Amino acid sequence: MNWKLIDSASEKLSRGLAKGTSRRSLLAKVGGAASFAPFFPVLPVARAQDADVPLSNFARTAQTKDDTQCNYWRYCAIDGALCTCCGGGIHTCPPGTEASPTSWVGTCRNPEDGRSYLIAYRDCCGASMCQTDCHCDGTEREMPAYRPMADNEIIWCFGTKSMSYHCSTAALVGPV
Amino acid sequence: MHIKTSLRLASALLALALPGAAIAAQGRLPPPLEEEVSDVAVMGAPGPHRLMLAGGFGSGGAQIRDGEDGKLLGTVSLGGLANIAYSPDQSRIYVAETIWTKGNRGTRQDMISVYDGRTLNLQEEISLPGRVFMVPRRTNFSISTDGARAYMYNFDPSASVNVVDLASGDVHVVDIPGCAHAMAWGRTGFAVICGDGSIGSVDTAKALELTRSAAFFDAENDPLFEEAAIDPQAGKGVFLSYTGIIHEVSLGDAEQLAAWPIQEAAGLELARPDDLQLAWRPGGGVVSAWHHASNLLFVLMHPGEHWTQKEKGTQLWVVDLTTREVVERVPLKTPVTSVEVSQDAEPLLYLITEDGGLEVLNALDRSEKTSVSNVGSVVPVTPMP
Repeated sequence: MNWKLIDSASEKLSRGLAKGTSRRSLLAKVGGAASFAPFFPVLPVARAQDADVPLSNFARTAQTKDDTQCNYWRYCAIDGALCTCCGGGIHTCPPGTEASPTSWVGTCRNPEDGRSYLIAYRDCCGASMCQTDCHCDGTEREMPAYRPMADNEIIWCFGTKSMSYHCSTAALVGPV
Repeated sequence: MHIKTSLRLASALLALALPGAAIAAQGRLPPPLEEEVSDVAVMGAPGPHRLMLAGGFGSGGAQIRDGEDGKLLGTVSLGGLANIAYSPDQSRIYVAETIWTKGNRGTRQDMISVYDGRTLNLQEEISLPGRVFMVPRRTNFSISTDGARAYMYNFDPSASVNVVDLASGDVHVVDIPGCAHAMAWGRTGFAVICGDGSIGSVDTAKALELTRSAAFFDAENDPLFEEAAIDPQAGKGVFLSYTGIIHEVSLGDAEQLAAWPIQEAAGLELARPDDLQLAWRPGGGVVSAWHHASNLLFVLMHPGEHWTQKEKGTQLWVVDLTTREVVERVPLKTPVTSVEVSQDAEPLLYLITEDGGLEVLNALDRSEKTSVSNVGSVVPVTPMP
């Protein structure tokens, strides 16, 4: 059986679902905002694209230039060693490791365009933990294990040949 | 100087400098030191002030320490991201661990390794069909109050709990869809926290099915910390939310008993699930500890905005759960990641600091007892009576 094909198809399905869900969530929020605007003048949805409104703790200091720093904008909910410091890249696993087909997710704001994006944090697996000073622990909307898709303390090496954790990447899925 | 006087003086000085020579000179040679035989130490009798310190990545084995003076008594080996627990009588130490036949690869093996509580010798290994592989949380592995069963949370990535008969080694798997953890209550039960804002409970003496409470917390915006404080004997849990709401829960019948904000108990502004509000909030690794007999809850608090749930504590709040008052706010010299308390009448409070130190306080008057440096980034585990 061609598992790669099935993995690829299911990933596409998941991505589509994730994007669709997010859009629907946004629609729901916008709808809610319209209904309740007279009662709650400052809503999170309104704030997301309003540069004059103060941002979250992470978003206030987030930058887009250096992806080896913990305040790089996509790292708002990452936890672990940064693959960008380990011979890999922002969505690239270092040599000799395997990219996990599974991930946890975060929603991070890009300070350059003011939009929020869905980020898939995929672990790179199969080698000993990367020895680096680039250890980060973003906690924005990070959830406990009973909300696993947003939990950054689980070793997300499901579906790889080895569960040995090496480092974490932050691949962009799309705007929410 | 006369020659004879000089000789006597020299002889006296030699005798002072070399007492053995003087004794030999007088014919009283002591017996030589005896040959030694290498042996292995056995720990003393267990007690409520035993403390286990277990870590995550690369932290070595679990340290068994005497909480009174912090002395290291022994070490138990830990496989990757292991969980550890005492049997109620401390005669056994259970390590839930995962190893691979070829180190970082090969066949995965999940097991509970059973060690004697005093010799620390391996007694047996009980195979598990799997276990969660994540930063160790104490609520993921627990022992029933009669010591007969262990509960191990598994996530692969569907959620279940392994119910392990520790005498026979039999394992029953209970699916817990949408939920996580495995917190023992009483002789036969365990509880879980669910992603829809409810608590689930299973009584293994009955059907292996999950009973769920009504949703009572906002999992999306104000989730509960997974490191809940549990009294297995009373079948009760104290769960803190990220904003500091204290939820008291009956685990057996999965029912919320009470909920009130910790800041109100201190006469301070409540924390809201608001990105921008600076307020006192709970945070850290093991964020709270509960001394059951006095009904005191010790909580690590820090000033911060919402989503700072892993921020270390700069104050320790002492909460009387009976009167719902914060009776003291103890400033912490070094920020603290985790807190635990012993369950005896003269309880000790254990603090793991951000620089990897252990500080031990008298839990009742918060006076300092001892401290140990370089214990590592560890989680404190105490015996459950």
